[in-house]
Amino acid sequence: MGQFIFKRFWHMCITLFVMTTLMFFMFRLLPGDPTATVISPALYPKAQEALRQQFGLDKPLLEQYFVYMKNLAFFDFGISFHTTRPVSEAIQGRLLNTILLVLPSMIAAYIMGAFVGAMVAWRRGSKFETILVLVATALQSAPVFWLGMLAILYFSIQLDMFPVGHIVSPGMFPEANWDMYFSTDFLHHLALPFIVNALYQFCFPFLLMRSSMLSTIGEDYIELARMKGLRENRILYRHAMRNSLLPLATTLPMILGWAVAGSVVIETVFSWPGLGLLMVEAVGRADYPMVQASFLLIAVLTVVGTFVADMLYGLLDPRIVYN
Amino acid sequence: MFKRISVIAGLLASTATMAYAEGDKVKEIDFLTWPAAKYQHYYETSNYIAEGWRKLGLEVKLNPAPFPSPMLSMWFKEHKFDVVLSVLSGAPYRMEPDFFTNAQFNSAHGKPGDWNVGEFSDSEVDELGLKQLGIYDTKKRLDVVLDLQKALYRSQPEAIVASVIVTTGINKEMVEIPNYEPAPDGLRSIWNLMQMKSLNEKAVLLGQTIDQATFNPLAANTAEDFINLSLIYDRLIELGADGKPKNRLASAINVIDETTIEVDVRSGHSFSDGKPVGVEDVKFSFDYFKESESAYFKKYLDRVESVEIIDADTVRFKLTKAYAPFILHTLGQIFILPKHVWENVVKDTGISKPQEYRNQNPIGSGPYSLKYWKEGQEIYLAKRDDHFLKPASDLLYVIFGSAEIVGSALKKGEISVSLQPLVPTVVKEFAQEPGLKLFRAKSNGYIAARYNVGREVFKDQALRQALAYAIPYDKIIEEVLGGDAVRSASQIVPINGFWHNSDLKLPDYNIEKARKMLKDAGYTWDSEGMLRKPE
Repeated sequence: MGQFIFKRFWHMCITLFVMTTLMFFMFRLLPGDPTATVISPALYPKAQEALRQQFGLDKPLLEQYFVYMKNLAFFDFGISFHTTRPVSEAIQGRLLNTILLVLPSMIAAYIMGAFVGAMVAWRRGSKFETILVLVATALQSAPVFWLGMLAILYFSIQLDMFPVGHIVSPGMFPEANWDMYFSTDFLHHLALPFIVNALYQFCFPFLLMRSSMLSTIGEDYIELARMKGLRENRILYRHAMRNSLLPLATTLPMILGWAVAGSVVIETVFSWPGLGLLMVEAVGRADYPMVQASFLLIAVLTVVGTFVADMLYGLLDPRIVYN
Repeated sequence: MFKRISVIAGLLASTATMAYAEGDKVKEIDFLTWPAAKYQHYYETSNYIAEGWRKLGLEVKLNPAPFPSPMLSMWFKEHKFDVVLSVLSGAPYRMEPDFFTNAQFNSAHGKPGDWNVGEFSDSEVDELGLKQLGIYDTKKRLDVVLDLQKALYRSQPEAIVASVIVTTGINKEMVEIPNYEPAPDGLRSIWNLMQMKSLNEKAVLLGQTIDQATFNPLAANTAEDFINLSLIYDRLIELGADGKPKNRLASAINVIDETTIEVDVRSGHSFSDGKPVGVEDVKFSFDYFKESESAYFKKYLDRVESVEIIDADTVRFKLTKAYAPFILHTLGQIFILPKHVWENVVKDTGISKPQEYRNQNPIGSGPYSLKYWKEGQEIYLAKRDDHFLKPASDLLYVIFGSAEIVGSALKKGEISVSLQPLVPTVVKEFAQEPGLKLFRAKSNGYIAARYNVGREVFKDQALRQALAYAIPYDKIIEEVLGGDAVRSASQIVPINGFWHNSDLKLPDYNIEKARKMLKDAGYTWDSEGMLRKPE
């Protein structure tokens, strides 16, 4: 077991190293001079040169790479080309907002997906199943920005139930402190993006749970439970559902990085000041240090998530043995 | 469509038979343009231009490159194009007549990274361009600037398509603007922001999609950053909505001679921390911007040799060379910083240069002071009642994730002002709304097809002149730009009324005329109808 963890951990480190290297060179191998976007042509040529030096862009690529990796080892993500302030600061400020939107909606989606998926599998062949599977597939194929736009159009503009975006009403919380997150105003702003994101994320756990349940239902121990004369609900919740949860539980950590990446769209539509919106802005400005750091964060979340999922597997299912 | 093609083919064939001696075929034109997906109207504009030119027997290949990278680099640094769809945005300081003329087309500015991206060179343009730089008297300078525009019109370094109209709006129930000034930057103009009066007890809520990058004036280099900085920090001169300089912190400007300018500084004014603004702060600011080599300001301070304090109200600027744009470009852009705050910033905070200072709590003498800035969300500017410009209300900028939503927020009353340009489809709908008021601002920037004279195809002036008549201007304005554009024959567009040369005749869309011009210049057409160079 210990050896397995060590080996997986080692693999994880290599994956991250390769990712970081790839990302560094990928952005710099794009055609054209990336600095042209950062260093405005409106600037005096000498001033352009000075800026290039300030960001270290005048050094050879390989040297830039080594400096980048060295700084990374000390959790220094560099200086944003755009704001000329440390990248880590900007990310810190935004990360919490993203987590507050993504995590609750993911959890809601998983709980909902698990229950609805189980029900649907239990009533296999019913109209209820056909309709739900259809709706879920449609939801998952619909672009999330489109869902978001529609939700804003209908619930915010037509019905005037929710604000069109942002995390709180402008001017309500001048101080940047925790009060904001404990206000009803915050919840009011959170509601619509939360619902849209939860609905969008719902499809995956729902379909997964359904197929997992379907294979569980055919197992002998379900038959046995029926023979014991247990009530249907008891068989469903205690025996079938519990045993079908395994794939769901293990995909949750894995999917976290993916969900944060997915927040790019939802945050842009709802003007939610999180990491996703920051990334969109940074990509638009070719602010490489900012883009790289946010991509790296997503990569780390995904890789670590996968690692956690692997560990969870063994924990949840004692039949699995590591060797 | 087919009929039209056959008519054109017929025309081409008839001229081709008339040609007796043929020069080399004109090379295929590499037209650098914007990506169609994100900048559809720019791409379509270039597409319509190419269509027009093809009717003259030219081969035109559109080369859309992703923006900003690598397009900006191909455009400004590598000059990798025969012609580029140049979109130069308007800005208050670009009302200074030098910017769209001499700065763009003087042959001395053709190096990579500078403005003359087409490596254009014309002796008359160079000469007039340099001449106007040395004349401070606006009336006398005007004559030269008018001639300069004429020379540019003659030599056609680019085909000017149109200058766009930007529509923004306010919610009348929440805010009023008593005397809207028709400035090229519309509601973003300091003269309009200052008038915005909130009709409720809250601040004026202004929606936009761009956040401030920095409140450090030495580190800033985007137009959006400068707008807010100019509300917090005063400048000696402020550009009026009509393009003429107005005194701001200065009470008088006296041009002593070509290289000596004296400025009287307004007395009795103070910074937001209560300390008085004096001539020491003025001298300090100019010296400080120059010494710290602030990237954006460097070129405007290059010709400043020294700044001296003459008496308690007067500062004297010595220039190395006569420089007429000094008033608007230098006095009108350098922010006056409080000496007592900045002189020890580097020493006290341990940073290596002033550009690194965060300036989270900027202290300026401007009409507003920064109450708070929540990055990516809100910027709150509180008005200062003791300021001579008398701002009407507090301003609260609200940052949105996408432009589409800003319009909806305005209509719904979640914001009072949309600084974000409204899209044409929304404009029609919003114009009907009784609660909204729309403003159409004519930009002082413009869209043009800029030729690269450094490459072979467009070296010939006659070809450039003829091509101006082969662009379907009206079609572009109506079909691509939604009717929201104004044509101009000069780089200094009509909104810049004082400097604009209105005598120049707008080229019309006239293929026959263009063909005749080419023929007169010795061009011929081969049997396939393709254009051939004069022998």
